[in-house]
Amino acid sequence: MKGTKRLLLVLLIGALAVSVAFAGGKKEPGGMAAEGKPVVGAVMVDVTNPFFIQVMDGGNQMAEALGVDIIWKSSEGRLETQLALIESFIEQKVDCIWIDPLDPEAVKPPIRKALAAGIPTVTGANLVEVPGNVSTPFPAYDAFYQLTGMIAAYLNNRGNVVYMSGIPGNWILDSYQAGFEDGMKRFPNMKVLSIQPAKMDPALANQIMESWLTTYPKGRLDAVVFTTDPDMYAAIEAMKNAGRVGEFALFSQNGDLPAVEMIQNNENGVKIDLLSHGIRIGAFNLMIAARLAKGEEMPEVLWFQYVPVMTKATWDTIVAGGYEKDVQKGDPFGEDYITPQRAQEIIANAASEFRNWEPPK
Amino acid sequence: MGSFRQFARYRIKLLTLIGIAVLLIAVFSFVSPFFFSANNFVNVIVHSSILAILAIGMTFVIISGGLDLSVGSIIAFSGVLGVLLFRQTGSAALGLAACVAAGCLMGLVNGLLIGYMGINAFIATIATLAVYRGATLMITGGRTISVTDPSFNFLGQAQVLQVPVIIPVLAGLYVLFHFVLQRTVFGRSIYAIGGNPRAARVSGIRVRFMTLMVYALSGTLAGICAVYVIGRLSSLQPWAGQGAEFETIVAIVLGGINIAGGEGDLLESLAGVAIIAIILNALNLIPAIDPFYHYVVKGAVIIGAIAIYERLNKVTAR
Repeated sequence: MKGTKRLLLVLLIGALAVSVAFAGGKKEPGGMAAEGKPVVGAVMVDVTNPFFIQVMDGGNQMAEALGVDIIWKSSEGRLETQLALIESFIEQKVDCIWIDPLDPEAVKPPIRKALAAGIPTVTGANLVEVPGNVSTPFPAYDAFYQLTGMIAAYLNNRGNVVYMSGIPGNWILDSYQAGFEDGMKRFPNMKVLSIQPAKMDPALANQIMESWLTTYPKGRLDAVVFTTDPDMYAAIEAMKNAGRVGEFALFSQNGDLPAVEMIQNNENGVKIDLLSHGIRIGAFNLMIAARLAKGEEMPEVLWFQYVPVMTKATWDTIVAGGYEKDVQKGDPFGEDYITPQRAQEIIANAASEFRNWEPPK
Repeated sequence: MGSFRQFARYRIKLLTLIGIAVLLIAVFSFVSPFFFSANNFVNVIVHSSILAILAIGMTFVIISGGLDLSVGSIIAFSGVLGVLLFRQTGSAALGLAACVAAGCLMGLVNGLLIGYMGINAFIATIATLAVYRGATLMITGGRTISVTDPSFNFLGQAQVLQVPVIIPVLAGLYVLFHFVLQRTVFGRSIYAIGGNPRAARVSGIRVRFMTLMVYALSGTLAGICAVYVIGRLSSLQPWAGQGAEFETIVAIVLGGINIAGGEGDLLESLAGVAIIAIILNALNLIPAIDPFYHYVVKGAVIIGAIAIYERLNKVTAR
């Protein structure tokens, strides 16, 4: 009897609370921007990966510089969650939705819904072909295609190379590999001895490097190419343990600060690192999203550009070795190269690079 | 009033869960101005459909004293088989039927391992989780396969009178299987097996066969989930359903299903699913909750809901 009364009391309180909420809940017409600052909803693949933490840092820096609010949400690596988050942002009537798509096809229906609701959308890293959506894809294939030209020129068009690839099935990482393989075919005296997937797992990268060190004795290997800097660091540890650090030229992608410092200090054989860096990616995409949120129009495809980081001495070497840009699908590089010092400046203040950026005519 | 009291006492668990759900709705409606709307409630149902469908099968399995950790992998692998057949034949109907049939077949494999070979359900379904997922990755190479045929994607994308098709389908499934569990010999047998398998066997219930059927049902429902997931995502994802089994178990345990078996009710499972769905939706809508805190907030709210439920359970049991 007592328990039933208590239960009924709980239900009554619940019903009252619902009524109060329904009567008293604040609903802002026009969505979330009632206070004047545009709001960007950002749906990231994951926020626990260090790369995405960099993306968030860059996005936050740019948001502060441009006077927009940003709401970060994580898909936790799951596509169903990503779609649910996009639909929730539509419900919240944000001023722009920035998505880092797990799958460029699967996000099309909710993107169409958002555009139909008058909310502009930006999809980073992938080409998502929906009329009205702005894509900021990585020219990943071209970046590594061009990189192979630099590697070949550095080695005077003769040498043995190994490649540590990423996660099979990941569009960007597969594109890096495809660009690398196709680029290398241009140089008959350059041999690709091995391609192994490190799956962006530094422990696995370390093991792969140990295997290569065992398989290829001194003099048999001239260069090692990495998809991402953390793999390179793990591989360098294996080289140090084997007493063979500095024996090979190392080439990578990301532009992390430790890698940039290695280039600056001529350490560990690191010669060129393609600066993408999460902080630049975050700043670039937030800049686009902020401008869309403020009502500006943008072209539907805006290629995010890498920048090769190397010393002037390395640049002179590759030019002397006959390096020439050989653009395939699109020029992936914003500049021929930048010095490590300039790379450090950019990483420290991502907003400064893109604040006054204008889309190509 | 007397009959209401009797009803309330009989359905104390369910009413408590409904009360918790109502309380959460009230709180979240106050915190977020976007929560209490028809569109958002549709979102809540659509976003939790996979969980809700899997909860039906998992309820049957757990009441029978078992466990099925392979449902997430079954979603992925049955999807692969269905999509491959669709691509070979061009027939969406055949592809869809293949998804469901493949799910049933994989469930039967689980049932054979557990019911007839006597392998512990936890071990057997952990093993099949790995096998089905591995097979999916082998066939797809880890790559997604785009599916844009509107017939194939009907369940995941179509609307009838502006209501997503999945909603009436979900309602129909719950009505059907609630009837099966409560009103059929099959349903009664499952309770008996879960309560005391030896006594059930002695009393003439075909325990092994029933176990086979229960896992086949769970697999079939996972196959239906595959159809929905492919439709919703317009693609086959090799990692589809990953972690779904654990979320499903959390939801139905929250709904008061006894993990040891022999007790429980589909409506209580549905209430557990509803509570989880409301919490997840609210976390998406409340901007102040940093994504890093999602995990903490999710866990805390679930613990809070279970604590209220357990406390009320103890009080009303006296």
